[in-house]
Amino acid sequence: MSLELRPYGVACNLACTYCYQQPQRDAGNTARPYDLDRMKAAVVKAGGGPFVLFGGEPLLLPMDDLEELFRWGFEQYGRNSIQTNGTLVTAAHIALFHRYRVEVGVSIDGPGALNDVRFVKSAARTRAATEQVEAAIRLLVAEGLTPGLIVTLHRGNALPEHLPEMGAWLQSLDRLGIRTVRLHLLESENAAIRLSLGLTEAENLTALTYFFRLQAELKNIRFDVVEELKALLLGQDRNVSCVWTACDPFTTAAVQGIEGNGQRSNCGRTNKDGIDQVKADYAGFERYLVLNQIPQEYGGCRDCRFFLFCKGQCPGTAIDGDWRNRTEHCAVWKELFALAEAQLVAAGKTPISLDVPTRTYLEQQFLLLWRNRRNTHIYRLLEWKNRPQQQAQPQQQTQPYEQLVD
Amino acid sequence: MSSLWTELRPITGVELPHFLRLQWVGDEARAHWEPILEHALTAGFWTIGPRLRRGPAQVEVHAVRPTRLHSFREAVLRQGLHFQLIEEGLPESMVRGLPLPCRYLSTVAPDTYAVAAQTFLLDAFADACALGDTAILQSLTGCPETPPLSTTPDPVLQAWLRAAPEPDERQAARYIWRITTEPAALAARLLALNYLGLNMLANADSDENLLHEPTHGEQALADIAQQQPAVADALAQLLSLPVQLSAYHGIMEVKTPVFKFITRTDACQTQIDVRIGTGTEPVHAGARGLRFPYRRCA
Repeated sequence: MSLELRPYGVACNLACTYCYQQPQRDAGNTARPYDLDRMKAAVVKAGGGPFVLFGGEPLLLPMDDLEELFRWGFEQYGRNSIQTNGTLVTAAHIALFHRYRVEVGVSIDGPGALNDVRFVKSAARTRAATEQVEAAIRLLVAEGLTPGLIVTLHRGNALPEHLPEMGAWLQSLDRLGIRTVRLHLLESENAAIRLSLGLTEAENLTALTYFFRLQAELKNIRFDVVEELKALLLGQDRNVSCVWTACDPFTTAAVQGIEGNGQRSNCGRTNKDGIDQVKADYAGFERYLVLNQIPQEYGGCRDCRFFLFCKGQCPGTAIDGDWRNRTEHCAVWKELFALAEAQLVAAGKTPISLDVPTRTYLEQQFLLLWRNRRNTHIYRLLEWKNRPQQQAQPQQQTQPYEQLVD
Repeated sequence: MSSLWTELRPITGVELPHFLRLQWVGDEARAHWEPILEHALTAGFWTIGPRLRRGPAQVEVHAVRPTRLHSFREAVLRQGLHFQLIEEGLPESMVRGLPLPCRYLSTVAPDTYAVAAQTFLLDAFADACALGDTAILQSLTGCPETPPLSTTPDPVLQAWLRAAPEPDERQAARYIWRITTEPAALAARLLALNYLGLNMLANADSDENLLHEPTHGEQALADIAQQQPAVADALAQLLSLPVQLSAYHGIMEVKTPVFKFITRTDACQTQIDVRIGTGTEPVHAGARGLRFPYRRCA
């Protein structure tokens, strides 16, 4: 679970046209006055733990308030995190990051022109901002604060003609010492964005397979998507991203948002009306029960051998922006799962997708749990399935699933 | 289970458990509207038992020509009810053997039977069918037991014509109690407004004139206002909210400017959206959003 503090809501100094938070800005639901005490109280009420300072752009926060949040977070939980666009990082911020053990994530889509979609008022200022971000990355690494990167793939950076330059850039980052790069397929908030920036299925596949291959040449960087697909197929899903874990769009378990006024909110990716709805009082998994039964030609996942692993993927990327559908990137993921499946087989392993009895068993257990408003992971079910029989206690037999649910 | 419910399969064969989940647009909206909801639905609920006696049948069975299924479904949704097809494969004797009120769209023999009701009442209906509990069936459908099949060519219709709907309010209360003990009691009771004929989605005319009269709700509200003006006021506020219903894949999403909720409905291959109200009026603590029923940013 990630606790995301958003003091300024979705306020940002950039104007990335594809931003999944744009509906909120378009609806006029941007920055509201924030209250540090209410935010801290909300963190405690949400169960506490290290939080991520999030936005919009969290470095818009005045330095004093930023330090106060980091200081409190460090005292309470021993460390902090921040997700930034990197354009505002200064030496003073670096000092705070050191002082209060702040892990840094930076969003950037590529070098120079490949990052132009992350727009700042004019082409010239956009390029200048990109240079600032790259400088910030180098500075962070030099300071021993090596950031993780998030790269979104779109027509501005991942068309076939862009890939060699992207590859060279990633190799330079690898030499610099960057270890984690998260690749995101574009989440299109409307048809115009999909048309202007969205890659076709073939283009997405070309780009992702290019990065799959590139990874073999990299010493440090690991594209988590590659590892996650294989881990899922082997039932080792303990640490996979939330997009593979049957996210309930009404409670988004992986993201506990806390707004500037202390209000609890969900992951912004599920927000298509421009409103940060308050979390529902309890979780439900209706989307996954439905997707399992709806034929694929109607937007569901029925009879897909990868459903157990993909689960229709992130509701924020659902077809037509309707969370009751599966992801609009289905064809891409299906192809990549098949590729990962083939690689596992070639390595002498048996992916669960091809082990029909086990896959069927696991699917049935998931459905049973979802019907009872509970969720779990594949690895937990496998541990349960493969447990030594003598460990099964009588009380376990009467309430077996209580031990399995998340 | 050998019951009617197993025969009442949704269009695409989708089966879902009962669910109701409510989500507020903000803490301020919840702080303001939740007490209104609670007040209206708890205080108002038990004061108008007599209303039930004169109320419409809670589970209605219609004969619908296949060509009109889509518009029928939309009309049902407009009433905030749910829709379930009785498949052609359903044994005729089972339909005819049940005490069902039935309204024909035409005098032509129907091709398809459909049940319209709140989801929880569909469950109750199915349970009663499974148990053969005619008393509960009577209370739900507002129709006395049907004569034996052999004595009449169309017992369902004849029974409906003979019957004066007289629901048993004790049985009704039993089902209300059942839903109010669920975790999402608030949302459940919200849906249960229909039970009073107080359809929060209401006062929208049904093009097909299939379901109970919209004026029924208005009359019920007037009755409440005489006894409990504050409750009536709360209900009036709720009923004034613009609403969007969207039925898709077996999930109905109901949005208002202050809250939304989801519940089970029949699974459709195409999405059905119904809008009621304009969405332009200011609503206290109502959210601004990109589309109906939320107000657009000025």
